[in-house]
Amino acid sequence: MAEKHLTQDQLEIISNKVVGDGFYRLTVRSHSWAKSARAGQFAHIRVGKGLEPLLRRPISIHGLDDRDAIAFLYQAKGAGTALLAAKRTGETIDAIGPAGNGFTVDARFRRIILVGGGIGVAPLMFLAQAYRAKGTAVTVLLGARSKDCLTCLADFKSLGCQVTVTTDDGSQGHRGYVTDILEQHISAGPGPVAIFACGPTVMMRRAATIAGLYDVFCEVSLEERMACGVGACLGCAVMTTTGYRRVCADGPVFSAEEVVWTG
Amino acid sequence: MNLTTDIAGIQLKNPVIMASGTFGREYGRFTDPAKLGAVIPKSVTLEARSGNPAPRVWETTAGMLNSIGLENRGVTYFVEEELPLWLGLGATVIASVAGETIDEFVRVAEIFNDVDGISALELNVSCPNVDRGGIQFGCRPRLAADVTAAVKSVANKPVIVKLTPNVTSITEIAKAVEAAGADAVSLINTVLGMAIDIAAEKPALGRVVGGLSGPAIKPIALRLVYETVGAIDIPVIGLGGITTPADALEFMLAGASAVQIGTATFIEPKTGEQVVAGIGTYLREHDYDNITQLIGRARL
Repeated sequence: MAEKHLTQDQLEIISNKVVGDGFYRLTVRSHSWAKSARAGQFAHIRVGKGLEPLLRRPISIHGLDDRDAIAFLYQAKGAGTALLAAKRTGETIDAIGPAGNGFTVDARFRRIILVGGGIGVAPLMFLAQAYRAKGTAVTVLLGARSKDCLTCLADFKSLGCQVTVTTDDGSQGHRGYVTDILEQHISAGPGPVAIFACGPTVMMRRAATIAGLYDVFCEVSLEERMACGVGACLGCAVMTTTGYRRVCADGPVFSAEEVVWTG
Repeated sequence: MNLTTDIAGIQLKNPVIMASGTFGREYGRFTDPAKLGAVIPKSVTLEARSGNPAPRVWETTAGMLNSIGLENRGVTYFVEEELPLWLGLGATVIASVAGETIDEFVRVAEIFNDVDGISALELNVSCPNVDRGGIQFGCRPRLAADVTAAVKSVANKPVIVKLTPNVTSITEIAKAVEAAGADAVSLINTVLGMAIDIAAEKPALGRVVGGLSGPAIKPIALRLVYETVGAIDIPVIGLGGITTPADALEFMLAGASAVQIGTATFIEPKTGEQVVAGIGTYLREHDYDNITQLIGRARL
């Protein structure tokens, strides 16, 4: 299982750059992480050296840059991620991981649809890489504010993904919610098709509902306030059809059918 | 140099114990449990408990709030599945026991009587995150004494009682459990607190209130340990916000016979080992040859 690769490492920063409005792309050197990491997993990163902020921050793995480098994408929106954003090339980050279970990567799907909202796009790039490596057709539906991760668009396109953007204000692409256009994409090509969603709870819940209506395989990557990040404290529990489960160790990826939505 | 510590009739290789609810077997891959004084796995109840609704944790200034709610898979799972893993890692195990009734504490203690590899029991009469059991036992001297006496009357292992700071006088509770036969006390459990999520305009925790832990509570814990050491004759195990070797030394100089590390493990999984090493360094640099020489030296 994923857990067997879980380690604590000092990872050397190759670069840490702004790639959109408050979005940063961090790349670090690690052969072992690049070798073992799977799409949907995260790193639990100690952002400061002191005790403020106290807890580590879970940051999604965004993809592999090469066989010795992995990328993270994060949004600098609080004190913790601001400290991470201040890290420079050559410094190291204290990271525990690759943590969590990861998305299903299965060659039986002829098409996959990635549904991302805001910073939820982060783990979907890695998943697009995994499916494109198998030759699977990948459709990306990105819900965004107007100036979110613009480089992500180019990166998805260079992988050969078909990308559609929706924005709340219509400043780019389709005006409205990303889930508005999900149904038409489910019926737009051959099956079996699978949906993978990461973003705001309301978006994932809607994607899960639509997947249920069409009886389509669907996984969602959940977020919850996290303390230990390794399954010890039971702090990040979410309710599922089989009871409380830990986002950090049983997830963050869950079958859409097993999530009991509360948001 | 000798770090060996005697607590409640058990000998620990050093005075650093990993606190209940914070040190899961997952940490066995980052640190060596055999190098620690003891490990106290998450509290065990007679039957499985599912815990509280999310969010269960919330970061605060130099601390965190939690309202996990004693989620655990019950005593049978603990004995059959979890305990063997700890023993396999070479850990000295103290079992934390929780319950909604005195009878539940007693029944779990009885089951542990027949289990090899449990060195002592820690009674969690101080969990602030459940409606029944937990903190209400630890808030009243009479109830705390009753549960202690009931467990002592059946247990074949030393009994440590874990105390809550959320009381008017912790020394009264400590004296009551000492009189009831407790072999040691550990303190403090978390400090009741809350936070508001201003973005959502509602309480940050699903259960509204929770327990504060981490560096923020260390001065509170230290004061309560200092006073409790002065009030009772049984050993006191100090905990609450210990993050560094210096923190641990403060508690021992205040009179604690051993310490527990909790929240700090979430930040640095090797904290326990680092504190053991740091205490050793301090003793060497200050020409002590035995950890017991240090205990209580700061007391006036």
